[in-house]
Amino acid sequence: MKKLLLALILVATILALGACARTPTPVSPTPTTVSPTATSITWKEPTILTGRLGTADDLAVTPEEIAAAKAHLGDSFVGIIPCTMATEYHFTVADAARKALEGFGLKVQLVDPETKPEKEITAIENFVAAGAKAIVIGVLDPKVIESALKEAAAKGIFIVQYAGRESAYNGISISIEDADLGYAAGEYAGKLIKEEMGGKAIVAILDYPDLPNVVIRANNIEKALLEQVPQATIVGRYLGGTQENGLKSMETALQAHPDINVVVSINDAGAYGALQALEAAGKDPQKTIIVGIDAEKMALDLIKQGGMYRGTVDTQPARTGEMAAQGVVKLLAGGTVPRDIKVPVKVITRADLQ
Amino acid sequence: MHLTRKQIFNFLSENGFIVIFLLWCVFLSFFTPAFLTVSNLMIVLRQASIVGIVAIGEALIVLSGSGMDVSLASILGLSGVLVASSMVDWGMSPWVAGCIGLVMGGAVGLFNGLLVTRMRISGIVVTLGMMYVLEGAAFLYTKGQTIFGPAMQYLAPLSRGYLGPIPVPVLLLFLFYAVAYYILNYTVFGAHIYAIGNNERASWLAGLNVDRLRLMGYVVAGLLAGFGGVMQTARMGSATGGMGSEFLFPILTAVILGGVSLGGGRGKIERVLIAAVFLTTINNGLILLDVSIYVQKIISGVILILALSLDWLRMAIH
Repeated sequence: MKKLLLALILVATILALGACARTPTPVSPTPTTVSPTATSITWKEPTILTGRLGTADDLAVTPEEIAAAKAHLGDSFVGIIPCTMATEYHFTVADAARKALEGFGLKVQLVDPETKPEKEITAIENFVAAGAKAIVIGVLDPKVIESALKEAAAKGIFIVQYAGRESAYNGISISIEDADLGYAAGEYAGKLIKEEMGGKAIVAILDYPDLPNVVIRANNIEKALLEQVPQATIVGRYLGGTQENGLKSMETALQAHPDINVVVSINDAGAYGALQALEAAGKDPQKTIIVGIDAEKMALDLIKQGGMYRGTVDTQPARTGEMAAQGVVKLLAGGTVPRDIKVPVKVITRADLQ
Repeated sequence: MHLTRKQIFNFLSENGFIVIFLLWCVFLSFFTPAFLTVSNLMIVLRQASIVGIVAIGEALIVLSGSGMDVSLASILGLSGVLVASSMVDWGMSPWVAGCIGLVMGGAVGLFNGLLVTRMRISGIVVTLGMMYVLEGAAFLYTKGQTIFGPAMQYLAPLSRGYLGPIPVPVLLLFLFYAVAYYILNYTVFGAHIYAIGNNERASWLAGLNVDRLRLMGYVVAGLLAGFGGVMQTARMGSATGGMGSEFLFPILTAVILGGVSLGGGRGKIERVLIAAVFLTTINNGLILLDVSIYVQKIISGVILILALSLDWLRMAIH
């Protein structure tokens, strides 16, 4: 009987949440003047707006919202599950989110799934069991973790997804579109080929097929590059993602295609390896182009030096983490927030750094 | 000379993965002209060098009957981070930085060994725990950032240098294997390692200090993993907290494919070297053949299954 009652409550909650998502209420331009003390706050479900892409401005939080979020969280915590802590991008997102949440006075727990979707499932289940009220997550494989996240959402836990949009059940997504990232990198590489190589180049793309989201980047690199320079030859997609993979792949690819003169990578780490391989092969830095994604410090340094590394697409990881934290506050405070929020893409070139 | 079916069967089963390796090389040399070139073969050996060197330590531990050590890749990672940081952040010379990596590796190996031999905790449990500790330490230290700087160029000769026509990492690979081969086949220490792996109790009754020998195995393996970290940092010209994680499976696969018995006491170190080179050749060949990145994993898996299946025949016969 108790189980039946519980199931009915759960179904009612899901229906109520669904109804909220379908009936957006307009965003109030001015914050309400509720006293920021925990005792005086009456919690209400957040209003999640659909139908338009939100911006960073939609996530500005007021002291009242922070107080309301703290009151609603109580002794519970916010869970953070980045894709991995091994790359600068995900580490920075997770670290920025953690710092921002702690800055708001919210408790945080962080788990590293080490790029393994099954470990993300375990982390979600553990957070649910431990009573988390919100989860910030970088989704590795949306289909694999779908049921675990839906289960968490059904228990009222807010999901704030970064680097993707599919999995923000009962919550919001804060993301640079992987397609935008790939497109920006491919487009910039294409422009350089057009301006400096007369539109002809032998191109290698560094991919990472283990992660579906990243494959979207590679697809769009190829698409944008060929749109810019249809005469360019793409000799293949090779395993990148890490410096070691990028190095190994390009060392070997250069044996089969010694005339490769452009490498576009789905991230900076793989591009570092490509740079080493191209340098070791004696390529002329003035006639070779590397473009990466992520805007890591090392990439910025290499671009500034003026060699082959010509550009990187800034994913703004710290900003993404802070926005995720603000999103958590909005949801916990019962605020109004768009379901999908965009982090802007920016190609960083030598000109930007000088 | 006429070979009987049984002789062919025995030959195939005895030589296991080496037969598949040779067939793969013959196939590649026919279908991709870039494979059988000096520069490509040197690339293969250079790519195999770090896994190969650290796999010596893994093989030593497995041969001594201590089970598998899954922390060596993490030792490699932390060593690389410490070496890079010593040079970039603290301005140390590459020699001092290298020594820090080695000492850390040896110390972790000693600690692992003491836990296994003194506290009688299972080797796999100790090293599994240590793997997480070291990975966490590496991430904590780097805070997810890549350590790099102009100072890293002083370490480059270890990766990019040549001695005559031979790259330094390749030379080191063969040097380490020559030493390991000599120690395991021609010294008392090597004989004792095989003995304690074969029959721990009989060895103890014969007066061998089983614990000390196993402890030495862990220390040597830690030192080799530490050195692997120095080499990898030199190869990448930078270091990240996760740099060791890519090595865990290749190291273990090299030892298992090389036919080192997981129960200890049986296995030949030269076969581990061949296995390490074989693993590298699989990916090298698939890239040269322009096989789609999405199909590469499938073919790699099929080749490995074939190689291990033939080795299984050998084990079934004996």
